[in-house]
Amino acid sequence: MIPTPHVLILAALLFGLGLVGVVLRRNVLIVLMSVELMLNAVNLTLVGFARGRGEMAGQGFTFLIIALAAAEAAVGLAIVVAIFRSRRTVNVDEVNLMKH
Amino acid sequence: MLLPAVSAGDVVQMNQDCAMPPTALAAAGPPPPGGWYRSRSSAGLRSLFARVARRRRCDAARRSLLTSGAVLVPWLAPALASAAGSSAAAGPTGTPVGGALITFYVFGALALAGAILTITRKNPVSAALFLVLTLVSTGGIYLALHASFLAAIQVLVYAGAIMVLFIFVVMSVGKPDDRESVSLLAAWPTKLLGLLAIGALVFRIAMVVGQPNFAAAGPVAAQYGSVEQMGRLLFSDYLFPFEAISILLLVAIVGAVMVTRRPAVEASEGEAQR
Repeated sequence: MIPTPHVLILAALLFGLGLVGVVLRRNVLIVLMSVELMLNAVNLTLVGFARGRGEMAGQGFTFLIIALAAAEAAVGLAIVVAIFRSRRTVNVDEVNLMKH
Repeated sequence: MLLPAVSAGDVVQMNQDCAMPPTALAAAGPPPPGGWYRSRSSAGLRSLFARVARRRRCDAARRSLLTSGAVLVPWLAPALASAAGSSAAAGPTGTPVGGALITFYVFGALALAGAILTITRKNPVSAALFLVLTLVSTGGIYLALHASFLAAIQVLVYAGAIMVLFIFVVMSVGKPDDRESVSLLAAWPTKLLGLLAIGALVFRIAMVVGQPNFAAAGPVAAQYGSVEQMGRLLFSDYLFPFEAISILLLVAIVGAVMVTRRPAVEASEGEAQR
């Protein structure tokens, strides 16, 4: 038996690491990967709760979130490719056309 | 039983262990007159470069060891303790009780290591491959949590399709960004605020998790998490979200194609040049 708090702590650590990646990294590809990491941590929380309560609802949510992550990755990476074509950069600090 | 947090004592101890002993500095010898940077002789320059390169390699290895060790050691210690304690005891059906727990801790440690390496690698290809490690480990944890269908979906969709998409884009646009290490301190007040917010969030989660009102996970039915149960759930209770997410996927595909399409003017110019 896996205690639910252990799953939650692992998920919180993974979520925190993903958040650190989003805040600290400037390469937009790694920022997107960190977002995937955070989504993954949330999925782990949902599956942990589903197991703890013996219900299937959390697993249904997780299934939907995985499909959502696929859509998010497709659109996000398409935007990255479009930005790279026009600006020749993947650094999020250099994509500041709206600023000036 | 809760996991101990990373104590400050561990980190300090590791810092002291990793500190360069004073004898190593003494063995480097006194600097030439005028200091290392002023020395004109090529031998002096070469030894300086070698020393700097060695120092840099050492520092990088030491830092990554320190960060992963500081997280992994407190994480694994109770795992090994409980594994040693519970693997001897057998459940009523004769299967060892600690099997799922050992699986969880091993894959959890792998997932944490992969996550740390994902956000610290400079090369996006390495980061993507370590993210694959994290995602596959999460699939293993799903198996330990009796979510077998989700484990298969995790490996197929997440570690398969999504990461292949990432690798494709990384290969076509991404080169290691040399300026990134410099810009780590740029806009530091914003980053400090972000890190403080992360600390507050993790602290809050830890407080909630520490409360004892989580019921112990009891045994579940043999069919729990199977394809059949997931299908019944998705096509009865969650029929509308299921259909909505399929429309969302369609919209995302069309949107991705539209965003990456070359502008019509540019395309016609390309044809004219040909």
